[in-house]
Amino acid sequence: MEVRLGRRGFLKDGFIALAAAATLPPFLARAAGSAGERRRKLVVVFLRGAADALNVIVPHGDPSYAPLRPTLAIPRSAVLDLDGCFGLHPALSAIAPFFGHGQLAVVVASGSPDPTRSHFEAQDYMESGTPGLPATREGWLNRVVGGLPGPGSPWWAVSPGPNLPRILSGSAPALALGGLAAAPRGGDAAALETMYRGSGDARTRAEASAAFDAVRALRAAERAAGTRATYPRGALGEQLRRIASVLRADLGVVAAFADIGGFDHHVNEGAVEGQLAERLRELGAALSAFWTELADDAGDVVVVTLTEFGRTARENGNRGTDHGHGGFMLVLGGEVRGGRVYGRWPGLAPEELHDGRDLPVTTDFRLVLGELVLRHLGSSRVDRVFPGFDVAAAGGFLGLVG
Amino acid sequence: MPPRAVAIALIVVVVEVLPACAGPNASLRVAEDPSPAEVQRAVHALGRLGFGARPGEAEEVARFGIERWIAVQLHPERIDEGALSRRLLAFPTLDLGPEDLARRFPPGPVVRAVSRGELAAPGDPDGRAIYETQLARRRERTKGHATEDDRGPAASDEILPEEAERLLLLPPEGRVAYVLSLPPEDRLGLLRALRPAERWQLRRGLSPSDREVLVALSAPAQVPAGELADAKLLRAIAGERQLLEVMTDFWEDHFNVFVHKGAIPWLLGAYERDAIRPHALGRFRDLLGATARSPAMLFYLDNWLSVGSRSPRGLRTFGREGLNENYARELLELHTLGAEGGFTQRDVEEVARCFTGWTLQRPFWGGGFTFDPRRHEPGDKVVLGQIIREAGQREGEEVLDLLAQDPRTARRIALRLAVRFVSDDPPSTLVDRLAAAFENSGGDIRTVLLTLFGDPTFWATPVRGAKLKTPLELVASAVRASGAAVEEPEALVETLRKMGMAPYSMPTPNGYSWRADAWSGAGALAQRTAFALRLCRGEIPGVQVDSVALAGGASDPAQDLARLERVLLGGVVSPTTHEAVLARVAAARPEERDALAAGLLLASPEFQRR
Repeated sequence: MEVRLGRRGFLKDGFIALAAAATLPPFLARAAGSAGERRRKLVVVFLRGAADALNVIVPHGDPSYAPLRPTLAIPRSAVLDLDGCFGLHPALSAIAPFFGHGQLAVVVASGSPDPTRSHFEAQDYMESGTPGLPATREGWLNRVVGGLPGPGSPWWAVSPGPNLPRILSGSAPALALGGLAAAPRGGDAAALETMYRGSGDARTRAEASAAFDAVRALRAAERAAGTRATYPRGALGEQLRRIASVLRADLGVVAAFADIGGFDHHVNEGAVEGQLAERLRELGAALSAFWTELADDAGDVVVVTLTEFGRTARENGNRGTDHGHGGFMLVLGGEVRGGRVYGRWPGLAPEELHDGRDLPVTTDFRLVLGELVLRHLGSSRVDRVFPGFDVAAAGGFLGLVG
Repeated sequence: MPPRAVAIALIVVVVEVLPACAGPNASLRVAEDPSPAEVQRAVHALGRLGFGARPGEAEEVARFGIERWIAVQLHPERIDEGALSRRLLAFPTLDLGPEDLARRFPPGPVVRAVSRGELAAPGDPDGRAIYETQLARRRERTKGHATEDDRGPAASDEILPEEAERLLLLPPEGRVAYVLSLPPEDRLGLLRALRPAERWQLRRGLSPSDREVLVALSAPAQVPAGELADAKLLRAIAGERQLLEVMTDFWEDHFNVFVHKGAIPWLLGAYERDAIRPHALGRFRDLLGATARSPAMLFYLDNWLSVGSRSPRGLRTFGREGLNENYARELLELHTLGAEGGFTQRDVEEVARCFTGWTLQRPFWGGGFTFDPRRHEPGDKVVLGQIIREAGQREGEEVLDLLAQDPRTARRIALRLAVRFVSDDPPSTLVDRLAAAFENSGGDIRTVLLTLFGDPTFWATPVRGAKLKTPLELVASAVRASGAAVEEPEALVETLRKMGMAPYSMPTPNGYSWRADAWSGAGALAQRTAFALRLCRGEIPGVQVDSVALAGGASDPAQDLARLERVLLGGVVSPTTHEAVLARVAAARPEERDALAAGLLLASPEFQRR
């Protein structure tokens, strides 16, 4: 937590002006670590349950699409067209304007190269960043902040829940804001702070000092957070609201994580309306509110979505879809070269389908994330964030940012 | 009864009574009070071999004799647990096998079989209600979303809450009858309309079987999984066989499985009851074999799916099914040799080949272990440079023999025991001694523990309080220290979930960490301190603390505080903590003081360690 100027990387990257830190209240300055610096941020939103890529980014121009989905296909007339070939599901209307303004990009046929169709394994691989290697202990987002130069701050990586998700777990410090929010208040908090700051154990003192500062900083940030935006009801809106408040308070956040469940639609998925549409409406409204809330700060932020895999190209006998392979990613940000559809589209012709049933993966999810880590966050350690991943062999970066 | 058996029975009875009594059996007590140093040693023993001291327990153990107490803890079969057993009757699934569980609380595949007419639903009214409701859920999902749209959201927002309110006002025995009087579709709608707190309220005071029915209507898997988690908490808090509970937990982390994967909710109870607990203090090889053959482990690490590529089945499916290395890798890396164990990818594959054919018969139906020769890879294998001759199922056992005898395994188990019981970075000389005890005893866990507890390092001053409690240890020890009456442990399980340590919920095979870095940090501290205050204020549903009785009820706050410090912290409290609590209590209303003081002491830096 303390600022040390001796670190070479620290000075070289010019992370903090000590003078700027000195003008902040001491606890905020300690918490911020890099306050005053215009720092770029990455927000990862995980769509758990394997969202149906073909009905989110609808390939309405692919002649095979509609026949594969007699009851589930989104009619071309309802699709929010992006480029004549692909269109957004109509329930994503809240974020469609971002595509027009060039801030939203979509990556089709993206996902993990690992063939597993287990939610558990596939999510695990996407959070560890090492498909096929279940033993990886750290999440890739933790490695991102662990590889940043400078003295480090738990504020570098935050998640709004009560405890850290897999993607943020690891040796680099990170904050679970939901846990902080539960901290005692008032006289109880003051008594505890006296006890802990007076502990005979140096490590306890240091940790507690960081904890009490973090609680104060979070509460100050949440008090200061305005109501520029109306978030939709539901867990995702609540999570993004909390993330927006700490981003706006300039506490030094580099990476944040949120998730939304309920995308596993084996039965009655629905088309223009229905179960998937409801989830997408919540997603779109929450992202749009988040963007509105960030306002001027949004230029430094990139939001990227993940989902563990896609679903079968053909609808099943229950008006739903089963576990498939290729998925999609949404990339939203001030510096994103948006308004374009990225990724090679293999087509949905029978001979193109993975195992004869699923959209293939033509873009490894690490290619998108690696580019964001390198070109957006400015970390040169893509090889450490995604060990064993060969960017060149995977086809090279897509040119999403910069 | 032959004379010898009578003699043993007598010994058992005498030994049984002593450690279990927390006071009443005064005639067996030694008259003089133990020295403070001896009480401190007892506090240490209780915090390491168990989940912390209950009020007065440290003095009790010191009087009984600490070494004697440890000897008894190493033989849990001699400790009477009648009281706990009676409490555990509240969780009837603990005694059922996977097959019965899967029939009673049906997983998806069983419901599907009934819906297709391949299987009859049970005949008893409760069983029929559970199936009817699951079938209704299935119909609802397959029928078409429109029907749910017409009725669903609007209905659950407006009409049902009134019904829910009426339901919650009913006496316990009336609630289930009322829910079951509804058509299955409406049962689902009603249960969905309840908020989590209301659902909890709905279950309060129900008989175990009524509660099971109600839980099963919404989520059959939650019946066995929830009861296991509740029982784990109750055992840690109210169990007399503390070392057995600690070691059961130790091995459950070492041989971790994840309750939220597939069929595991129905397999986990048998795993703990039949594979882990009976061997927790026994021979490592027996434990290793029991986990290897257990349906829970075979399912969790996918070995049940593994097929040798040259096996009859592998050849027939043209590579669509193949070798799964998941179990083999974790067996080497986590269960035995360790990541630095010097094995190669080739070893992993060869071990996986040895274990091909170790599979399950219909895990979702509770089917058990079976060896399927059609999946087994033919030919000799080479593991760690040793040839394993083709021998079918026997090959896996040979691999386990090889691994259990390997000095690297001895060293790894020794290190993990030292980390759990001594410190995060235990002296390597201690680990050496434990590893030697492991090897010399042929992997006898009890012998290794005896060596550990007899080692001066275990009792050394720097080791006292060196371990940061994990959330499980914190929650269990706080409830024990406070002498709380736990009516229902469910809210404590929820507390653990929020702290990131819900029972059986570590998804990755490495199990929960026992090191401080995993459980420290700002969010953790906030939650731990908040929990302690809520506990003593009576804000944890189902758990009652009598702080006034705990504090002795003197009119002088300082006197009450001194007593609380003795009871909750064994009297070891820093001046800073003492002053901070005293100042805070002085500013509080008299009727709140004892709960506040107790809460702050359980939230203190002192109580976070053991």
